[in-house]
Amino acid sequence: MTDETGARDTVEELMALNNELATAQRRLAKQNAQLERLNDEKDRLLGTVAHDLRNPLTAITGLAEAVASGRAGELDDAAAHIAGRIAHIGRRMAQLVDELVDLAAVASGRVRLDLEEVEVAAVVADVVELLGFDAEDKHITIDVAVPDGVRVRADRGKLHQVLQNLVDNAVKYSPEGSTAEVTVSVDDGWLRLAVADEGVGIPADELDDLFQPFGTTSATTTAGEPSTGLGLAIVRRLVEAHEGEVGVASEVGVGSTFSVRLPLDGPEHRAAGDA
Amino acid sequence: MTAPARDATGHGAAVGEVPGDALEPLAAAYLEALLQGERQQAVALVTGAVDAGRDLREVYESVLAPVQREVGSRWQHGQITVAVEHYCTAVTQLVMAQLHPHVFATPRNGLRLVATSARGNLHEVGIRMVSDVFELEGWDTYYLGANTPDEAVVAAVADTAADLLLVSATLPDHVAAVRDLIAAMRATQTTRDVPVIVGGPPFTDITAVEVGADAVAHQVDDGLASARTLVGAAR
Repeated sequence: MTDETGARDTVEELMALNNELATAQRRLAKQNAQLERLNDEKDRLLGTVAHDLRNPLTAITGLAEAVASGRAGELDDAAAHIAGRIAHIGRRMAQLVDELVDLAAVASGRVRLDLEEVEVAAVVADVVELLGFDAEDKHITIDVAVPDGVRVRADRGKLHQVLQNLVDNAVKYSPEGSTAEVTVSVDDGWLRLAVADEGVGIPADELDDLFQPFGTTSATTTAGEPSTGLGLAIVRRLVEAHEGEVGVASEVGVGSTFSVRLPLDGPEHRAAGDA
Repeated sequence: MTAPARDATGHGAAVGEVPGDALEPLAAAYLEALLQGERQQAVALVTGAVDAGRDLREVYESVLAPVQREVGSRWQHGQITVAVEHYCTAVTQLVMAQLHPHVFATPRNGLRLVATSARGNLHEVGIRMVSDVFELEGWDTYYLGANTPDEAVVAAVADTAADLLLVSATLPDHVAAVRDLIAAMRATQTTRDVPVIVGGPPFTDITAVEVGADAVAHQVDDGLASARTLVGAAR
């Protein structure tokens, strides 16, 4: 074999390999596009199913509540109890549907962030007011420690959703008469938001799965409140959409502290700068 | 080395012969970057144009295809080495890979095709471009490469329920392989009625009939028009 022939063979071998790589790349790109289409279909289907489930569930829950309260006529205790259970289960199913839709939207990566300068104290106050009745039912005190004037560039609604999930969990997993605490601090360009409770706590070996969808934990709510296993997964993904981080520290029998770190200047700034 | 009968693109993607000095500005800049070995610059020129809103099909037809033809022509006339020609082709394939997310995101028309190249045909970038343009027109396209055995091509046509098979050849030596493939298609119950369009320098209307094809395409537009006619007739 001459040098020229050898070189030619090598070039042709390389070209053949490159062709194979290009073919494989094209196949992968095609499959990726098909998967994205399927994912879009799944989202559309989920949206339709959620809508079709949510509407009758709202009606069922509302009617059952009316029956249980006696507004639809006098009932004996057993019948009222059954109607109350129907309403309770209906609310739980509605919550599950809402969270599945949230999770699907977040998991698909199509979370649209409407970023604005958000007054953190106002969001905390809204959430505490919203969950105040649940806390009062269990005689749980929610303490708030938020410095004045702290602002973060974030999606107000999603920040509200994150905080609501964390405070809701604190109330659900805490015993009557305990205290939960929401604290906000600022550190080196980051907002730190923490929700601490004096609840049942989570074993160390369960912490890793806690932010996974349907992550299992041996901890149970203290008054039989429903839990779908999706709330913390949604929290994590909403926080990550803001290029932030979530964390948890817990001790069984003592309580848990869930924390969130968000870049004060918002995700766009970090993407262009120090991400 | 045997020179391709016409060019490096197989049967050319869409437009007629374009001499180097008649290339449109983006194509001329792309060719210059390729010949200077400026891979990143070459890729950025084309992907930047697409990102800026340049029509994808136009990029294939007015930039990538004519530049590949010009590269093939320069090699044929001894103006560049085979290594340079292959380098240019590899970069064009890289550009196409970067465009694929856009190509595959276009709306579907419900039609499917399998495309392949004659056995041993190294100059297959042309049929890749043709496949991409069909994809841009809404077809679901499955390009199998040049080293796929006939039975695997037939199986792919059957498995994907393809409406059409596209086969390209670059050299007269490849014609027999195309004839064998079409014979295998016709000998299989599930694929015997699937139309076959051939393309490439060795094919004329007469040689296309001789190998058993339903049509020959010299340009992408010919292929698209024949495809619609044949698929309509087959349905």
